Amino acid sequence: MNALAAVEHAESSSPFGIGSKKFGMWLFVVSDALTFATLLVCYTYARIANPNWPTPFAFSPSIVFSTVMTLVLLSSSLTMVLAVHAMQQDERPAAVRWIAATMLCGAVFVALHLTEWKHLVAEGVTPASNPWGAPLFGAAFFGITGLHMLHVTIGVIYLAVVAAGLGRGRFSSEDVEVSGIYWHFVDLVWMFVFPLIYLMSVKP
Amino acid sequence: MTKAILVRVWIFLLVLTSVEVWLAYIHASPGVMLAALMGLSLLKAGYIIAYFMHMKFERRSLGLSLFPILILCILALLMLLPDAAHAQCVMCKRTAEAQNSEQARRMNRGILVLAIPPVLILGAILARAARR
Repeated sequence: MNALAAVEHAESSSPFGIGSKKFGMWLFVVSDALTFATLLVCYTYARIANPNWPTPFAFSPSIVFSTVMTLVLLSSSLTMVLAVHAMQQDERPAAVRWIAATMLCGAVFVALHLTEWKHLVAEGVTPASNPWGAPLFGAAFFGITGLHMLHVTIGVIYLAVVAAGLGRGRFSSEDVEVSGIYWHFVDLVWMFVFPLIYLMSVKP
Repeated sequence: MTKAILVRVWIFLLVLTSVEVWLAYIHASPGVMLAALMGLSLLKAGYIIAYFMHMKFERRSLGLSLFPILILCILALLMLLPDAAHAQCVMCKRTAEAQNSEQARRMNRGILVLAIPPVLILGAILARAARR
């Protein structure tokens, strides 16, 4: 039995009709989704329980800035899915280019996010205190956005490994799809962090 | 699946995001805003999972084994939130205790009536499972 037939056999014998790598990534995504869900519920709990919760984000520049970050991350999802699409058409160079574009978007996102953190720190926000109200705000903000930023950073490294492997002729289209599932998950989490942390905290 | 569909999904997600940002721009009231934002975000998450993560094109058994348990866990987490809004349960119990015994009896009967549908549904599921 050659390698391709072995993969096909494994996929047809799985009750889900997918390879074990993809199923493993889906299990990770679901468990990680629960981590973020718990953090966001804790954040909401702390916010409801503290009437003096600060709403420090002015529409311009903070919300406009985080909207640009959202657009960058959303666009990186498109480039990633185009990389998977190219790989399924057996166009390796195109897939590598799209993955490089995704990595660029991810790096821009992290750079923008760090700029925003720097501004907040300059305004006096730390994990233990802030100039506006409930001290828990800093811990919740840096905790949730920090964990998300860590995911983006790990994603960029992961994609770099995949792109380097593709360039040397390694990895199948399934491997690219698995890295894509991770990347879209990071984007998906931001689709909840952005409204709950930023849009709900627009300065009245 | 063609590139055109993916680009169209991306544009749709951008439109939903701009609606969210517009809600923040007009300073909608917190209740309306939270409901609208969560609705829109769930819709966006659905599109990302279905098209970008290819869930729409997988066997249904995959989605059925991954998502119901996740949704159940998140709902269980959400049960904590009323507690943050100053212990609603305690208020409810005190109101019931302050009423006279006739009303308390009616309330107990009401609870029994409300218990009928879930008991019937559970019983039907168990009976069906036992017959298999």
